[in-house]
Formats: sequence, structure tokens, C-alpha cells
Amino acid sequence: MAHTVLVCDDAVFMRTMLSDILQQAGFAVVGEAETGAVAVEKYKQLRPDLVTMDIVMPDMGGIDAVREITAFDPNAKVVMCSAMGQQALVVDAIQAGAKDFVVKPFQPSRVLEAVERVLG
Amino acid sequence: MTDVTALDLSRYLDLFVSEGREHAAALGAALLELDAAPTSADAVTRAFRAVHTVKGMAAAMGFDALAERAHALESVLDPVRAGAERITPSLLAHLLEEADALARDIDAAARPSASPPTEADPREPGGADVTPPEARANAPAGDATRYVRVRANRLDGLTDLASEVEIALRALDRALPAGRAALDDPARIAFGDLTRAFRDLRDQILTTRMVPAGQLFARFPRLVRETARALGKDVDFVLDGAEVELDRSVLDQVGDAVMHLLRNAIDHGIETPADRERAGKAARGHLTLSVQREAGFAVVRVADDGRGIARDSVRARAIANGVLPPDAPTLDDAALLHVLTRPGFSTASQVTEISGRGVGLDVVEVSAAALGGSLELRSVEGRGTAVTMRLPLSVAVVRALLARVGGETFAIPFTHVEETLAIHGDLPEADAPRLALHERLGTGPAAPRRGSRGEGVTVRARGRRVTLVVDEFVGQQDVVVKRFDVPRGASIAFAGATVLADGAPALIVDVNAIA
Repeated sequence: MAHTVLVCDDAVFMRTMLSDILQQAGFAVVGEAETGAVAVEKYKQLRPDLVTMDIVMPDMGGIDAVREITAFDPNAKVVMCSAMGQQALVVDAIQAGAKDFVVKPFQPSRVLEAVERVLG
Repeated sequence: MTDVTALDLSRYLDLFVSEGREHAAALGAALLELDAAPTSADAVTRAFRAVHTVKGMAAAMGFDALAERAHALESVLDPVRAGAERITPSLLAHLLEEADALARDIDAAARPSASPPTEADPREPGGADVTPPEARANAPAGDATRYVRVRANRLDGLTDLASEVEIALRALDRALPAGRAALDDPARIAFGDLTRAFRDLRDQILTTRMVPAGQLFARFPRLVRETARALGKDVDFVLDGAEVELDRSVLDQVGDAVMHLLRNAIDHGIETPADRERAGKAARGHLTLSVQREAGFAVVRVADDGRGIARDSVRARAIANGVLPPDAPTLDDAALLHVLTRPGFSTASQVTEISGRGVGLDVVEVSAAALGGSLELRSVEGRGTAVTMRLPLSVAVVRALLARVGGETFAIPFTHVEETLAIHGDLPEADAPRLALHERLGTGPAAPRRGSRGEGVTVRARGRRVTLVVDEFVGQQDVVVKRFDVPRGASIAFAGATVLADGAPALIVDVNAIA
């Protein structure tokens, strides 16, 4: 059965692009979230195998969302999506519980590599 | 530019344009709100997010110039969001102009026949990017020299490569058991040729990175005018040396320090017109920003003809603060500078908003030191003050990951490895062979955070994958590499040293040497 993914980013554009990359590689995107708060809510609802999380979002940012998701489920697998120039925050994200990161703009190979690595 | 060709981007163009327009509109609305309410943190956050999102989308589409424009806007908004800068009318005017340009660029992308938006027009005001001299649109008439446009990040790439080659050459040198003299003729000559040719190549690359100081100067007349007006001072501002060329990243990094010196001069140096006339001076104060080259150094100086620094006042304050002993002699210029660069030092009876609470010459000194340079002060009471930054002209800047290892902070450069594969907050079980850095770098024992087994970065160095294990990562920054020569036989774990953002020194790990 395909692994399930929750895609979180406040831009429809980014969610669409990332979902396409994941679906073409055989993952099932079971949900999308445009804010950190919605991300936490949907995680609890859907319990996906993996989450991709943008850092900058309204109504709870990505790092706080990771923290909450990890507190709820210590085994949560979250891959952080950071923009260039934000790499200092990646360290914060990892300390909040993210397992890996990819840098935007997305290189499909890199995204899939990170996802596969985190899923183990 | 990263590989986006694996995705068919044309499918996303409509989405990019429609969503891009929404964010551009949101940015415009947030900025107008700031016009009416300049301290609205919510409006700043919305503006920042809008710009940040456009940046990500533009980069994903391969619209590099648009992404850079958005990035420049983001860099201006970030300090405001963090509370370190405020929205002034002139800043807001600049932001509104740039937001308009951003919206135009997004619309331009919508036209199917249009190529992606071109580099920011050099004639447009307020561009925060520093473009190389080759990008000047108006070559003088009759000038037979051909200019080409070069993307700024390509120059950074070239510089990084030059740094890597330099480090590899040094490693080669050190690896010779008996030095070059013991090589047979063909090898020794080839070695010499290689080193010479590389030096020339590196010098050429550094020259290509040079940018006229005028690029930095462009925003200062407006700043000086605004600040002087806000403080009731009358200031005649002279720029000298706009044509002098400096390394791009030196220029980028020195801008904030210069801005601070200018503000200081207007606030504390130059007197009000009434005070000046009482002192027998012209009502109009004189402020000069000059850049000169002196034998391998760039000399950036901010000088005013104001009241000078009250030496005795500073000495008294320093004694009261315990910075100087009670029997300290009268301060000469060097001692004066030393006292003034103690963090948090200020003799102004009120610390004004303009010069900032506690942000003093210590910050300027750290900036100069981080660039491998130094600071000098000359001041005559009643006559004026001159602060000079002396900065080396040749600079190597690399992006490095900062890590705590055995209680000390080190810099691990991204460019000194073939590839950075992953950063682990939680070390995975089966992965590349591990290298515990505290063992290789000769520090104290590993000291990871409680409950952690340490953090790691998996890299490919010399064709092999290895995971470097550290106590914890503490961030990333661009570091200026200051080379030092390691005596033969000593540990070759280090590629150089640098000064971190907080002024502390850190050694730069040579991953290729220890992997």
C-alpha cells in the first residue's frame, strides 16, 4: 500500500507542485494544510506516514507545528521545507522534531531522497 | 540554478501568476496599512510572508530575477519583523516602489511570449542587490570595451571553487614528505607552475567580484537627510570615492557598520546650528564618507566636523563602570577607541532612538574584525571625529554550518565537501560511517544536549560518504576565511579561522583533510 503524506504550505502553488512530485513517485497525498494550526489538526485526524512542512505560514508557523505534532506523536516523520536564506531555522526545526529538510526551490530527486530516507 | 527541468513548469504558470498576484496585492495592502500605522507588527508579518512566498514560487519556476527582487525585499523586511529596524517614511517609499516592481514582474511572467523578468534595471532606485560593474547599462559613448551581465551568485560560486582549490593545493604541499625541493625536476616545475597559475586565476576571480563603492553609497544621502532632519541638524554630506572598487561581499557586509557610523556622527557628533554658531562654526555641519584603496586595503572613513568626543567624559564614565581603573591616565585615541568599543558603552545622557540603545562602536568593530580588518579613531574636541575601517581587499567567504564540538564552536564549510547529504537532529542507526569530531579536532569530551546522542551531518568528501558527529548544531552563516599557515607536522584538521557574528573566533574544519 502506498505511503500517505500530508503536505503543508500556505501557497497553493507550492502544495500543488510538491503533491505532483510525490504522487508521480507513488505516494498518496491524503491531505493538505495551509497553516500550522490546520497541519496539526489534520495530522491528528489523518495520521499520515509522512508530513512535509513549510516554515513560514500564518496562524502558527511550521516549526511550532512540528513541535506540537511531535509532542502528540513522537514517531511523527516530518520533513521541513525551507527557503534559501532560512537555513538557520532548519536547526530549530530539527530540534523541534523534524527528521530532515529540503530546500526550496524543489529538486524532485532531492525531495524524494529525503522522503525515502525519513520513511526508512 | 537548481534543476527544475525535471518538472514541466509550464503547467504551473497559471497558478504562479494567479497566486503571485494575490500575494502582490496582499503585500501592497500591508504596506499601505504600515503607512497609516508604522508600528503594526501584524502588517509587517503579512508583508514579509507575502514576499517570502513569492520568492519561493519564483525560485521554483526558475524566475531568478524575480526571486532575487523578492529576496531583497525580504531582507529589508526581516529586521523590521525582528524589531531591529523601524518603518520610516523613506523606507516605506522604497518598499512601495519595489512592491510595484514585483507586481509588474509577476504580470510580465503571465505573457506567454515574455522571457522571464530580466535583472533589476540598474537605473531603478533603491535596489538592494549589488550588481557587478559589468551590468552597467550605460557604457560611455565610444567605449570599445564589451561588458557582459553576470549573475552575482555565479561569482560566489567561482570564489568558493577558488577557495577549495587553494585548500587542496596547500594540502598537497603539506603531504609531500620532504617538501617540494625533494621532488624531481619535472614534478617540482609542474608544481610551481600550478601554484602560480592558480594564484593568477584566484586574483582574476577576486577582481571580477569587485564592485564600485558607489553601489553602497547610493542609499546614504537619503538616510543622512532623513536623520539630520529628524534631529534638527543641518548637514552637508559629501561622498568621496564612489568609483573605488571593493569586493562584493565586503561591500554587502560593511553597509550596516557605515550606516551606524553615519547615524552616530549626525546624532552625537554634529551640533545643532545654534550650538555650532555659538562655537564660531558655520551653522551647516560637514559629514564625509570616503573610500580609498591603500596597498591591499580598502579604507572606509566617516568623518564629521562636530563636537568631537569628550575624552574626559568618556574616561569618567569608564571609571564609574569599572572599565578603567580610577588612576587611569588621559585617554589617547587608541585607548579612547578601546573604551568606546566595550559593549553597551554610551556617554549620551539620553540614549536616542536614532543611534539605538547600546548599539555602539563595539558592533562596528566586530564587523570590521569579521572581515579580517580593523578600526581606527581620531577625535579632537570641538573640531570633529573620524572613524576609519581598514579592510583587506581580498576576501574569501564560504557558507558554513556552525557546530558545538566538545564545548567549542567550529565552522564546517559547505564548500569543503563534495556534497552535503543530510543534517540529522537524531542520528540514524545505519548510515554512512561515523566520524566523531571531538576525537579528530582534539577538543574536550563530546557534550551533546541531555537526552541526545549528538547531531550529525552526512557529507560526501573525497568520494566517500561520512557522517560527522557533533554535540549540536547552532546555526549557519557566511564566514570570512582568514588563512593561517600550519607548521609542518601539526594537525591539519583546520582550513583557517574566522570571526563569528558574535565576535568570537572559530576554527574552520577542513573536512577533506579529516574524512
